Amino acid sequence: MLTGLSVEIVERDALLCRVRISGEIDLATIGSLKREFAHVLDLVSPGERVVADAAGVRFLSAGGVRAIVGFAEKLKTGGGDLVIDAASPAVDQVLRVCGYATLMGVSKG
Amino acid sequence: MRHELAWSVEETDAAVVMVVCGDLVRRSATNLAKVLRKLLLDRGRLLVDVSGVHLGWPPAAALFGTALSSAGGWPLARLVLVDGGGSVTAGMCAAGFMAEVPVVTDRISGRVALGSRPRRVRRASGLPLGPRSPGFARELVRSACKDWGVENELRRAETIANELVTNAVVHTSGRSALVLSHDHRGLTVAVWDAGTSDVVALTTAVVPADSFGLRIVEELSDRWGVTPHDDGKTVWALIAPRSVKTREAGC
Repeated sequence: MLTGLSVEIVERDALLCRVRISGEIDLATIGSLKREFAHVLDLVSPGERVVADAAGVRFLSAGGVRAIVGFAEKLKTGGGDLVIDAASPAVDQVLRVCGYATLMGVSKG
Repeated sequence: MRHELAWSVEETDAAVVMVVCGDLVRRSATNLAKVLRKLLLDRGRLLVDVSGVHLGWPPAAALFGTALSSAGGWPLARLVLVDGGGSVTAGMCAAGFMAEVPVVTDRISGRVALGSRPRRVRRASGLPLGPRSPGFARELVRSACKDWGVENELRRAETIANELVTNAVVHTSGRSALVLSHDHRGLTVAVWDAGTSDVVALTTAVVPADSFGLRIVEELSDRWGVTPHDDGKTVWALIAPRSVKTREAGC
């Protein structure tokens, strides 16, 4: 796919799972993003923090925000959380506008 | 006395000149628009001498701007009308169409006018069906912002176009089109689709809290709205120049 999306796990230990998301998140790639999030959810242990590096996300749609928020809520249910520790300008703008600036925190991991 | 609309094309050194004569009525307007669009796509720059045209159906004056925008508009396609005393000027003037398609009185001024950007530029394109449509629309926004020197508005325009097109794809099943325009008021992103069912929902004053798409459109634009048509609706958003919006919803 030319304008694809990639989600890769770049670091993993008992307390933290670090993922790198890059590409464009829109109607064409949202299904693949949700599948990748489901995969990460299967992998992490309860209470584990997921740190997402989203510096390489060139575009984020409203549907992408819904997917990210849904992912964060599921992690929270298991006692963990989601922190976006590097946001591209596109991610920063759209998360702020949608009221989720709090997801972008400095990682303590 | 009625005269069937007729046209001929003259190749000159400086420009392609199309000479149109006769009555411009509803039926002939459709044909002329098709021919104009094709010539603009082929040649890029076109002078149309309408001195011998009688504007029998005033709405037909819109065809010039429509043909120009469907051929890509400035700077890819350029159109100037030459009217040495016909009735087209009055029709263009009354409807405000001269902001997009300049009308001059002679061919020499016409050639000069082809080199200047009109006060209002517009570009229209049909969109593909399906999940690739929003990405295609963003690409159109990027090239238009670049062509029109409004890269500062690019991120907002791209994001707004993405949400409007996504709504069109998700909520309607038929055709859709993107229309971008720029003038002194700013950059307008408009998406037409064949659906009419959600016009009422869209025109209610309050954007629902869970509708991130419309919240994005509202926050990133200076004004937005919905215009219903017989064949669907247009949702549009205006991005005014150098406007500063620092509100952070929910923060």
